[in-house]
Amino acid sequence: MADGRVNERPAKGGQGEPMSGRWAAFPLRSEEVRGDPLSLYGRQVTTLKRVTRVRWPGGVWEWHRPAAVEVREGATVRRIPIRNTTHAATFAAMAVGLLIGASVLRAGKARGRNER
Amino acid sequence: MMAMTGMTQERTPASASETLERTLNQALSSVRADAVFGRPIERGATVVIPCAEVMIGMGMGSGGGRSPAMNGQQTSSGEGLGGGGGGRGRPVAVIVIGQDGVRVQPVPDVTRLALAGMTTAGFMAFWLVRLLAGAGGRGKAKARGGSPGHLMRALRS
Repeated sequence: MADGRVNERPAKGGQGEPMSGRWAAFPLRSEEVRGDPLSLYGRQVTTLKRVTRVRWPGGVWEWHRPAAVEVREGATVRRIPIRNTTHAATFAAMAVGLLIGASVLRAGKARGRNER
Repeated sequence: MMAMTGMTQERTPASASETLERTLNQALSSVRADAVFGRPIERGATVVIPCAEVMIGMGMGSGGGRSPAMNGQQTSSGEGLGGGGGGRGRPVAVIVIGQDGVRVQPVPDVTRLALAGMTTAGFMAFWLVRLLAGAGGRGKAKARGGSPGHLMRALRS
């Protein structure tokens, strides 16, 4: 069984193509990096991660997150996205809270105007 | 996961900053290599690949100064440099590869979800209480023939 982590390389073509040329020196970069394919049960499974990098003189900040898993079965290629459910649920809760807060504030103001 | 590295020194040669940068880069690249997709684990007819998100950062800086000459003494100078870095990782999902197909199983962070839920509930409760208290205050004030603003101004005077 091949190790899916070694020799990771930027994805070629499509949405995941890394920035190159003059963009390579840009302090903010985001690229999709492809792992080595694993061959299992007649399928080729490739992991893809997204790397967001911010550079400044004397420092760097990087965010590596799993993006998708690509499954190749014969001639068909299927891309299964890897979603971060915790992030999605946290943002949803925050959005609901803000929405309800704004509605309550608006209702309070409307009631105040009516009473006046 | 948290890792910190740092060093400070005085009277550094030009290579010291390069050494520091190299050390920090090596520390960060060791985190980068194995971080997102773990080693595939075989369990019977199923292979599981753990996935995690990783945030890493590093920074370094240097500076120097010269003291003013006093009482005929010679001026002295000093230089220093320092740097640090840290990282944080959290499991996101697992890829399950079996004979029946490939699927992605999410791994929710229950603690973070509970905290987000509690914060949202607290925020909503605050606004609801404020709305209800405002309505109650205005009702009482109206019954007495004035608004809460008028009452507050009357109390202050």
